[in-house]
Amino acid sequence: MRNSTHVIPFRLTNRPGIPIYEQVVYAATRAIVAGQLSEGDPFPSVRTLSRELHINPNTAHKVIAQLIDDGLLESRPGIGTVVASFRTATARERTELLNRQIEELVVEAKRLSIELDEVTSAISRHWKRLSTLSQEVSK
Amino acid sequence: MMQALHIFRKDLRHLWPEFGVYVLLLLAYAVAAPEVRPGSGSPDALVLISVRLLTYLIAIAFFVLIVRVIHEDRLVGVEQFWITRPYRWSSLVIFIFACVVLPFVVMQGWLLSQAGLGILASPSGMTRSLLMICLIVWLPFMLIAAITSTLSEAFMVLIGVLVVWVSLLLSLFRGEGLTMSPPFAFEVLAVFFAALLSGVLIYQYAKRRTSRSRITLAVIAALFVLLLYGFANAHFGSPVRALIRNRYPVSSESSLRLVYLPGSVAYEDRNEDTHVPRGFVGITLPVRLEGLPADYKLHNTNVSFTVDAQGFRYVSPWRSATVGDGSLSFVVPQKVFDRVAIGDAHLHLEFLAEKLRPGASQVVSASDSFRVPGNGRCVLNHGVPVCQYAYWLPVPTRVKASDDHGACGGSNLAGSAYTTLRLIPAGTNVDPVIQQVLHLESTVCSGSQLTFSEYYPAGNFRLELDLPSVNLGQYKTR
Amino acid sequence: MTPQPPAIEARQLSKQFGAAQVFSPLDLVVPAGSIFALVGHNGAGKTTLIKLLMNILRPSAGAATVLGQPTTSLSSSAFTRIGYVSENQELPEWMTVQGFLDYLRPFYPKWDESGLLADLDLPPDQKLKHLSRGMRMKALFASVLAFHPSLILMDEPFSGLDPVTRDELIQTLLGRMSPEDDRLNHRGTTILISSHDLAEIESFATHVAFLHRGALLFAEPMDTLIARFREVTVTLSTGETVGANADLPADWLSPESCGAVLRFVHSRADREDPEMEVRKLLPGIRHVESEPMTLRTIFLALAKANRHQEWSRS
Repeated sequence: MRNSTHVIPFRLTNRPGIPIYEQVVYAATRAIVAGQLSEGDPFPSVRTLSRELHINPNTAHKVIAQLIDDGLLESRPGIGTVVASFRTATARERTELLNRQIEELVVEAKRLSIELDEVTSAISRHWKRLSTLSQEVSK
Repeated sequence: MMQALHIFRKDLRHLWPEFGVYVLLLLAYAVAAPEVRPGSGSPDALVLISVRLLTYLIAIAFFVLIVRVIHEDRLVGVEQFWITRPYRWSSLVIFIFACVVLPFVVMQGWLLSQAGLGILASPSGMTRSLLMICLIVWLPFMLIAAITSTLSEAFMVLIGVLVVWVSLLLSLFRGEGLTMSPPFAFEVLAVFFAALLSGVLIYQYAKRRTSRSRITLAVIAALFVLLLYGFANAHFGSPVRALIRNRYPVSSESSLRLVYLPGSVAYEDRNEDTHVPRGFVGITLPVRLEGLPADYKLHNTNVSFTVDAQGFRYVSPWRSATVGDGSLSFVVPQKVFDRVAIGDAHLHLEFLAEKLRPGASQVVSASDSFRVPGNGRCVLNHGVPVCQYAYWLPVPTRVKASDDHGACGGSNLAGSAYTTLRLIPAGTNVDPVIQQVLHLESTVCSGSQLTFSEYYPAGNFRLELDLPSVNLGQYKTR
Repeated sequence: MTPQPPAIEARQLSKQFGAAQVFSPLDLVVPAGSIFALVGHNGAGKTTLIKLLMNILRPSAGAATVLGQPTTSLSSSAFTRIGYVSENQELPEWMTVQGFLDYLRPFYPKWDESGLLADLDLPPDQKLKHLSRGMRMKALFASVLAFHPSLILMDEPFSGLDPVTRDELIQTLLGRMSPEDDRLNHRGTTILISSHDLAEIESFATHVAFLHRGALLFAEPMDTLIARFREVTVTLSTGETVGANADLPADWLSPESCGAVLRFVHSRADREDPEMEVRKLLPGIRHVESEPMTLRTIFLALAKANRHQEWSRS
């Protein structure tokens, strides 16, 4: 296994139509909030982001600037950009990350003329199923 | 400068096989050439052929080297990597100078010193020879390379040019060798065409407009051919004739004149073995030049005439003429001769020449190897002096032998030999050593006295002769 | 940040070969520091345009400036700051990769090849003529990136290359563009790249220009392009149809209808919400879906639309 400094610690799915910048910010935010990156972990440099994600350096710079602005990253002299110490995101803030998926779900449900309670019960069913699965695995 | 040297190094690294072959050819020539000089003894036929072959191979080596180095970073096309890079072209000059010119000059220098003449025996001759080669050989080769993209393409163009040139020579320029060129024509034309060709080369390197350059070169070639054709056939008429007349003023000395001696020409004066080009007829008139001091010589004798017969008039350009003791020989175009030789014609003749008077004389004692005036060196080869000069002998020299001391133990006949006037090479001689055998009537031995007399220009003159009624038919050289 | 003059500016530039006009007079501005994608079908004139900008060909009309200098008088010193990459370039085949780089070095004031050969995985002692197509392109890249040009013009650099090579090239290119530290690079390298590889360049190009049959259809920032194109699917209420001769707006490209479904490409979805516009114009809508499009799908839609236009005109 290679321990590489060029690994991007979050996944980027290239979705059409959404500006790359937004997608990267979203993916990085999600990774940090979900705990994939802990406080003090080094964040990839502009150059690494640019190289590995195939985005132009100015975009990479904008991403980091935005993340610093949002308080998720901080710049430490001599070390570079690292994940900032932040208070744990509230449940509401975290739920906001799922805004897009939730909106898509709602739109699709309406398109297929599914009522709200049908949707919520489907969600509960899936939730229970996945919870029991993970419980079995951890046994 | 550093970049130019850098490119030069790259070219040398890549072209070293071609360069190596070229150097070997030069070496082979340097070894074999002395054997085939006139008077060096009879060489093997194989050696003769080899040396001749070597000169052609050296010319081809010039071509290959020049074309290859220019095609290294060639101009024709749009995909070459250097087009979008900061490049320097002075490297080309460095390469051609260092790898084409310099080895050639070194070889010539070696041949000169091996002949005992010394490398700088004739700086003017060497300069002239190199400039001629540059104009006739190297510069055209560079131009062909600059407008083509592969060696085979360049060869095709070269062969095409040669074929066209030879066919033009055979068809249009008959008798051209005899026509007199106006004074300084050679120098002026050489500079003019050198400037034109260099201009096209620089333009092609600056702008890379290949089709324009090709068209321009074709036009220049056509212009050159037209000029030669014009001279050969006197189409430039008046201005050329005026220039020539200007340089050869009518003689102020009353003693110099042409005298017509009616009657047939003495047998020994008929120049029957003089070469008459195709389409021309040789005429020998019984005309004597009187008034020239006995020890004076003539050079550059030319004749121009106007002939009227039966309503037909012909004005000839200035053409080379031969002066004998009582005769004057020149050529007439066949067609003109057929018209005017039927009956009597009115012939108005103009004659011009340069006078040469004897100047300083130097007596040299012959030995196995001795120096002679004109920076030459002679050796005795079984009683015959064989002399070598570097590049040319610009001053006509007359050699007289006298055997006062009886060193040879033979008769005391004082013979004389005349070395060829102005040994100016065509400029494309690979061998810089001009070797001449002095055919003196008596044998020469160590200790014989040889008198070298140089002749200096003593003025130009022009004479006229009017023959109201003469039948040219009777003077045709059979 | 003081605004820099555009890296490339073309005014009414056109080129003709004999009777054939390669492209009609076009105006183009490539901002400094941008990564400008030039997109178009084969034969649209992209290669000719790039060659005109590099002074490999001379324009028939119009003029262009590159880094402030007129293209027709590009000098040696200008070429120390401009790089050109094209798959058809002839290289000195007999030189090795390292030999080629060593040969070029003295021509440039700035030269930094450290790590380039390693990044690109190039064998330094292999002769150029023995290199595969991908390696050759990498060698060419190396020879251009090494002197840190302010402007790089690339003519289909990725054509015919396998994904691994493509990846290496893009990574090296982007890696060399950004400085070591994270300062915003004011004097960023400008790149003009013509490519068919739309998926790849979509992620890093900042601007895109679309050349179609010798005409420049548009040239704009990638963001605005992506923002204004939407693929719209309209489901009509039962019984409703859209007539074949319906007068639909011109920016609804290639409308197609099949039964109760109407699909088209909206090219000005930034002006007004497509959904609102559809509901205003068409009767009896059940619902409207509007999906963003990738660069590739936008390109295909435009090409199709233009072809339809030409057919309907003739």
